[in-house]
Amino acid sequence: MRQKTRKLTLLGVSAALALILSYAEAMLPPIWSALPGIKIGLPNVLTVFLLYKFGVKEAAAVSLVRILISSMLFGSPITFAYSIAGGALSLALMVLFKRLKIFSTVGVSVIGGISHNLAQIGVAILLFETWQIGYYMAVLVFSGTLAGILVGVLGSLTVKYIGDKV
Amino acid sequence: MNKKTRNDIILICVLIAVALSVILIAGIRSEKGSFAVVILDKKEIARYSLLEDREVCIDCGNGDYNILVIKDGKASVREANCRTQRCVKSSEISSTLEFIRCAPHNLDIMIEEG
Repeated sequence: MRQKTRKLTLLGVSAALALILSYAEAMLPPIWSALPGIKIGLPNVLTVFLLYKFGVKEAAAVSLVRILISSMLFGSPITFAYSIAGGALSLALMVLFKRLKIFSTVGVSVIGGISHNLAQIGVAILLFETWQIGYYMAVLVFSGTLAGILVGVLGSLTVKYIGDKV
Repeated sequence: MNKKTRNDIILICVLIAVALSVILIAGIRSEKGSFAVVILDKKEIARYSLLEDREVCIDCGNGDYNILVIKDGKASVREANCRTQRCVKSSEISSTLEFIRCAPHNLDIMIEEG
């Protein structure tokens, strides 16, 4: 019972922290305003942390809560469509590659970063026929890789240093 | 160095190499456009030459507007009454790879060659 309450509390705190990170990131100036979608994805540090510390269910639940609340508070149905597509595909592929045991946390997080961006391009194609898709995709694969490295390093450090303490 | 870290590095290098080469090729093949094309609800409603400086107020219906500025061969949005103001914050565009999108007004400004 005590373990259960502890875990539930921790997941709640994680969701709150993820929400704060996504809000903080939204306040940063856009990295390249002509091409939207290039960002670090700081809340994903928590997704990576939870995925390695607990498992798929916990990571998915916290991501879902974060995406729902942040879309309702700061976004629109369109941002929700983008976020949920990106979140779902990236988590699915991260789980797959984590199970395959080919890559470390950083590699898995890089997979998460680029698949997040590719899913969002998929939604963009469905919602508005955007142009220069190939170019845009390459830019987002590039930025997704860099973001994934950063998130992966932060995520694995979090697991390493506070994973046992919480 | 363990195997997983090595795989990570291979993955990262391959991704960056592929992405960078596509970006470079696209960059080399892109040209400075000569027209700013205004697209409202997916339909082209106007095009303006980038050679002439001008300011136009684009009427998006329902009292919505975006003010398009063309100056020194570059297009930008100076003012708009949209909620996000993302189009106003967008940088100036001049190449065929760039575009400005105002999602709330369903307005796109893109660059085309003449």
